Amino acid sequence: MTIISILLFSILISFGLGILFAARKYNQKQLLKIPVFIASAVFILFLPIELKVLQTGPIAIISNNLLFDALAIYHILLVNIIFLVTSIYSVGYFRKHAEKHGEYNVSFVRRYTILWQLFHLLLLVVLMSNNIGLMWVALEATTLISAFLIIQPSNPLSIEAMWKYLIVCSVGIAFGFMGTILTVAASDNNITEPIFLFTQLVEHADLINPKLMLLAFIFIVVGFGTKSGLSPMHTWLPDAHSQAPTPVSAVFSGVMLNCAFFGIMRYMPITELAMGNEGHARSILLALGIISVIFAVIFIPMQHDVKRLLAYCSVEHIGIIAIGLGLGGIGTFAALLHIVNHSFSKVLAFFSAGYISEEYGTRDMRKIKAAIQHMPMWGTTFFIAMLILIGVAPFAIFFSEFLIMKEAFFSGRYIIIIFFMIATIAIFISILKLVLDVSFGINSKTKIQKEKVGHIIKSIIIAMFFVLLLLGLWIPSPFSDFLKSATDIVQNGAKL
Amino acid sequence: MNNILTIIASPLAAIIFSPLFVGIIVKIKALLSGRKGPPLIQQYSNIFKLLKKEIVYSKTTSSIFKIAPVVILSTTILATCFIPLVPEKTTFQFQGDIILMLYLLGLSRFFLILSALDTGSSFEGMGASREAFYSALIEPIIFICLVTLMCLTKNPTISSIFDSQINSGAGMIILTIIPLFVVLLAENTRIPFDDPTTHLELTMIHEVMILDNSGPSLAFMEYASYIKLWLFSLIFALTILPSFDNNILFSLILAVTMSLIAVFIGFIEFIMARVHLLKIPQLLFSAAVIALLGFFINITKFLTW
Amino acid sequence: MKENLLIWVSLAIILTNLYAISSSRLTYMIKAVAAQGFLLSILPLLLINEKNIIEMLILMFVGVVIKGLVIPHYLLKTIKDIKVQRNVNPLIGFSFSIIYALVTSVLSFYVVKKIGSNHMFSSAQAFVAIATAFIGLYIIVARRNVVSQIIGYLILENSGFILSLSVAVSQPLFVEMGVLLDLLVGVFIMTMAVNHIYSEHNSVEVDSLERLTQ
Repeated sequence: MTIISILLFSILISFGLGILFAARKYNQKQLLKIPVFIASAVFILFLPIELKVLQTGPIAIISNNLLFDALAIYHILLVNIIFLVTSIYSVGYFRKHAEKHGEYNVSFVRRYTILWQLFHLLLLVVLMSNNIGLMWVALEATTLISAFLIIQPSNPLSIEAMWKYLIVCSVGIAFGFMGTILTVAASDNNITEPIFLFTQLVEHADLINPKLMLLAFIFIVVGFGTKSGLSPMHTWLPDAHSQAPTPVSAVFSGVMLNCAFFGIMRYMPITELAMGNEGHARSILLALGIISVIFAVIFIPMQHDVKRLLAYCSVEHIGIIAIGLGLGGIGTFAALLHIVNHSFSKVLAFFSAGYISEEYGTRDMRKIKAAIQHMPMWGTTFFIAMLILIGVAPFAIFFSEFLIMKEAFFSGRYIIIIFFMIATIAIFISILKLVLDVSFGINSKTKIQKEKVGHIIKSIIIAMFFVLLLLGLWIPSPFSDFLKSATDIVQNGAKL
Repeated sequence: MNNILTIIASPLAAIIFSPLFVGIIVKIKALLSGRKGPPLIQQYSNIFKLLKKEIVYSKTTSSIFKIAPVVILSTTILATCFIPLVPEKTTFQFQGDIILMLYLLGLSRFFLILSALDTGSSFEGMGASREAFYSALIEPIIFICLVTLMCLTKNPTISSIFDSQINSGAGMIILTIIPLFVVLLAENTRIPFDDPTTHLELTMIHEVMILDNSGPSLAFMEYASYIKLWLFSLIFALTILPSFDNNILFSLILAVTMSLIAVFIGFIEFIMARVHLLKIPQLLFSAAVIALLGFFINITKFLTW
Repeated sequence: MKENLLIWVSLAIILTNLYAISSSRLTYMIKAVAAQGFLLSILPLLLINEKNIIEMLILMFVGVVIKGLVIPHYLLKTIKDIKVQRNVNPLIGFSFSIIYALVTSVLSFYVVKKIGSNHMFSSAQAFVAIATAFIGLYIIVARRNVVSQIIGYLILENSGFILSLSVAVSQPLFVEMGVLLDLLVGVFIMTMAVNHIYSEHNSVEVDSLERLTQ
């Protein structure tokens, strides 16, 4: 127990050091290296905790206000990996951006670095919290901190995107607050004190007022769903993801949406248990997932901004995760698997889209041609990442979508299967067309320069592709057991 | 003898004391401005002075102009008969008397507008149109407020409001009391709705309609406005006061409350200016909304607060 | 006695809502929110019992300072710096706003009556919270000014605060403090954002923020 506390304390210290160092007088290159160190330190420091949880089960500290169980560890691992990878990417990306547009000024990079690390820390706090109030406070704080990460000096539209993000997410989180309060009200009974911890809510689920809990869950889904990109509250997503600097978009799509969804995943089993497992909570998620996919299907063909396209793609995949959770059974397992699949592939897609748009000087896909020929490494990455995203076999996304359809089939929900297939095929066709235009073709305008890609980033990309292929073909059994225990937590609630 | 006195106590008190009421208001305004102000009985002197003067009738007016002051004064005095001075001692009371009272006041207003239009002058016409417009907004408010209070007492006479203790969530009554006060100010053309001391005709509402009246005619009009002010203040005072058993004590407290209301009105006249003409409908509308809110909340008999 | 005071304060809060929704100038809206902040901070006093006197007093004090003084002062300063237009220029006019406020207040009253009172909240609290939430949302949506969106957000948070007060009785204080801190930081960040918007577009009307579509 104390080792855990020491580790957590050292993680906190490393964040503090990172922020302190970022406040010193470094130049841009040095500033950007700080998050790399901090992210790797945090990643390494979290590994023992993760191993301990895998071996001995959930751990709770600070009078049970922080909880590390399989679900939390899964997300924490994902967050740390993505942040590490993206921090490394940022170094190269900012350098590339400086080639084309001139260096960002130092105060911008300093603010960026500090906010980046705070963002990382707050996301971890969201994932660790067992206290519903703490989770809410941390989630609201992530909104506030990440708002200023969206602004880019070279992009005047980013201010509009930031304001939309700020207001929509703050209003959403205010609803989430009411949901939190209603949860406590629902748990009010004559036997126990009002309950604030997820584990206790699960424990005393039979004492929770079902109607009030359902109302609370609706507020939570609307509130946290705003931040996680569920329709019809997703309106901030395309703007924020497209106008922000690429590393920020990657982290938003790959990590922040998942953390907000994590909140919903904590509340869902409590609602289900309180209502006697009738599936009302799951139906709500299912409905919102379907609406998200519908929105994606409608809006994707209209896009010509590559990052906006990726943003709508995120909406679609969050919808798929919601559908998976809404179906239950294997669907939950598939949804959890889909989380890591989507994160990895989306991050790769954003990385390559960022480089490509910097190289061509525009994000408009109608103007980008022959990316593979022009930039072999990044062009190919973009092409393959997009193929993975739309569900090409034998990669991971195809597998998780297949599992979801399997669950729908075996539980007799044929309409969902038909809808799902039509939607994915529609998106497949529209994105494939756009991606083919971008990747192939003849580009007569720009000269082909030698592309320089760092070795580290190259190996990271290859490693991520390998993981995606692996997860698509055969899930290694330790990972599969790990996911199964996480699934159990989503279905039956967090337990100590 | 005693019986007759108690029966006509309310209108009698209205007739006797209303100029004093206005005198207090004027005096307070003056004192707050740092002047000495006219003596409290100045309004009586005004009325007597006017009664002694000669009436001049304009050639464009008809008989309506001649009878209007009489009608106005008599209906206003009649309206005071429905409000008791002391609980359970109302001159008239019967079920549904609220409608009669409000229509009496409406009748007086109707004749006021008619006499203003009768003069054929554009100033009076302007005042008449404004008065008609604002009355359309004010009358629903007072109707809603009184009906809310009546519903709470389950007895459809006005005086029942003042006789019994109104049993409601105590705080909710405030939603009815605020509009009552707003109506008091609006109906009697006090600030912030109309400035009774202005000399600019374009800004007047009530004053401009009585421009052509002179002598006793003017005296009746002024007296009617004093009595109407007294009437509304009496309604307000009786609503906010709880009922006591001891009649003499109650009358004393009532007298003190009325004086306090007069002081308060004077204070408001002192600190506020007249609200912009286009904003008056908005203000009245807000008061109506508050009254409606009070109505909906109070009538659900939600007594479990 | 306490119940009556609770009802009076709740009604006063409803009246400040009406005032905020019907005023056409930003300064008045900010003053209405400040008044709401003060009124809200009286509410903890009504929930005091022996166990939590210190916590409630701290909550009241912090609430008064942050919601009643710091945030409105900061908003007023921002408005002055930006020299924003004095009229809020509402998208939807005055009469409709007031009718909306009336209808939603009455609706929330009946809804609360339908649900019945919980052991945790008194009906007055739930009613005021729901009504305030409706009005906060309306102000965000129906006003053309970016600063009024911040005000709408504040009102929304106030409604959550009202609901959370009875919960705060049994909750460790730090979460309530966290909420208030979030609000404060949120307002700071929003005003910084407004400054950016102003320096970029030279106006704080929402119309200038409509270039991103689809």
